[in-house]
Amino acid sequence: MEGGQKWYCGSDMPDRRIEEFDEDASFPILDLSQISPCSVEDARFTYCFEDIDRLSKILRIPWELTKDILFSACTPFIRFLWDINTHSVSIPPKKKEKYLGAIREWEVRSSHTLQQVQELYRKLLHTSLVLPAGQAYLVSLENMLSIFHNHPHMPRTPPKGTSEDLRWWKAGLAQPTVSRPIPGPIEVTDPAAYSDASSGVGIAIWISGRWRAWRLLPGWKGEDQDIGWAEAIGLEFLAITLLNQCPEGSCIKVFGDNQGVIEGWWKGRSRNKATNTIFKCIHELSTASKCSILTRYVPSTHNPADDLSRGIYPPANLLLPPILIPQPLRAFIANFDDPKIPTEHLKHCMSTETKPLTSKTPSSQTEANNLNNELHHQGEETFKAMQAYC
Amino acid sequence: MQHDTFAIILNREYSTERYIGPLSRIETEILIGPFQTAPLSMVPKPSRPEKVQLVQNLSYPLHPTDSISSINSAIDSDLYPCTWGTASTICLLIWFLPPGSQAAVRDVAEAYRMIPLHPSQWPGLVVKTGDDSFTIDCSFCFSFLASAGTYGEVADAGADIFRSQGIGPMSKWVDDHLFIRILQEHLKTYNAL
Repeated sequence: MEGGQKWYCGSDMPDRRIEEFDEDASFPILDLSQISPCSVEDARFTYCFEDIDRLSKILRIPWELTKDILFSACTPFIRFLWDINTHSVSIPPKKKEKYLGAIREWEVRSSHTLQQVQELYRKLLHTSLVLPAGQAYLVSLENMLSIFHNHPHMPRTPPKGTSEDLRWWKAGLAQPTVSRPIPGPIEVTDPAAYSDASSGVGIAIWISGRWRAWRLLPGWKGEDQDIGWAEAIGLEFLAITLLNQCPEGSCIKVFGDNQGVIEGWWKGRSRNKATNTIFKCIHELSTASKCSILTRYVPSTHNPADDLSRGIYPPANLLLPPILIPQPLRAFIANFDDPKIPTEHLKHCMSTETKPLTSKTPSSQTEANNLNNELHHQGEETFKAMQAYC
Repeated sequence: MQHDTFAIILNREYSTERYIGPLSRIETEILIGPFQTAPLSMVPKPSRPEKVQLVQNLSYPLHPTDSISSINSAIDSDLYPCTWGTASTICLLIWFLPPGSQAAVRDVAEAYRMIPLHPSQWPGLVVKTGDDSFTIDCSFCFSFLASAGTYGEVADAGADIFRSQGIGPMSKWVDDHLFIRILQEHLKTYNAL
């Protein structure tokens, strides 16, 4: 039981979701083909429409006959079109037009009531089951839902970014068919892939003993660009590295120690705008490769990418191949072995910000502590010098 | 035109005895004591816009005031649980189907209206049909928070009866029933799953 839903719990699926059924399968399916008169085609199956009618009459269930949809391999149900043969689910063409129309109507207005926001949001949230990347394009509408307070009828202007999000939805819904394979209990590939970020040094990934790292450049922090954003980039870099080599349809497990990012990805979106932008890129990678990413939490002490993100690097012969840093990130991130830019030297003098080290390697721990103290001291000296100068 | 449609809907409800009335305020109070009405509107049916249905806004006012609170504000729909053929349920159901399976969909006509409302609850669902003209609604209706779950429990029983007679696999979302059938040749293996 969960809220207003009764459900029957099956086995754990490979991705650790639990199988959700709405019956306990206590009754076997019977061959009723001899009971009601039926066509040759119908007789191939265990039952036909007449069998439903026969029982409905006894139970006095009044079917709305004009809405009957006869047996076929492709059926509309809960506003999706389910294709049993091809194992795919899609948005029915009529619904697609309706949703596109709703976006166009929205675009004509400059402000909207709560009900108008809710209606569009619900339609797109529903569609995101078929277009999972759409989850990251729901955030602006979701933020708008909470700005009405006690005045649901007072029209409000949508938050920044809403029209860009809706442009994505329009393009998505304008595709000739909006469909996806029906998700099911598929095998999860575990390449032992980890990522981490440290606000003092940078971002790192570790896959089965091989590694790669990047430095965060001075000025990377900004409105919304926080450690969560950096952690999300770690996830994106893992995705870039892994998705290139995976066969279509794979589901790949990756680990990280930032719960906000790990659990945020389960919903496919983040309320933090900068992190959500990274999520959009990961969705794009995932859609292009037809693979999915499954995130799992691991404590920092068990995250092999933890030391790497602080600049403690293993031998270079274990390096993973380099990746092309996405253009919008190049102002904030450099490869770990790229030459230092001038502002980085200054940053090192000023920085007092490093995460406490775990005690995995006592010698490097001591070394790091000393370095930290020295940096701290240098920072104070610089600060004093600046004060004297001012 | 709207007035005519309203009269047609009322007559239908009286003839099926789902509405008791029309009654004056005093008559209604004699029958059921103090009562509450809610704003009424005629809304095109989502699936058939040429048809309209009466909808009482039982969530009005959205936020309770000192003097009045909505009927729905006193209802926790979680207390009326039933099964739902959610997207994840349907995905799993289809995932395990043998090749060649087919599905059909059937909808129950006026599903909520078939379920009678306990007389103790009648004072909450009175409809104001005119000046000093009231009607007691004796059935569950659309926009009443307890409707989906209460009807759902009856529909759950219905679905289980179908299953007990060997019809299936099946699922449902409120009154929308998804009937799936498999080829006879897969019967044994499917039942063994």
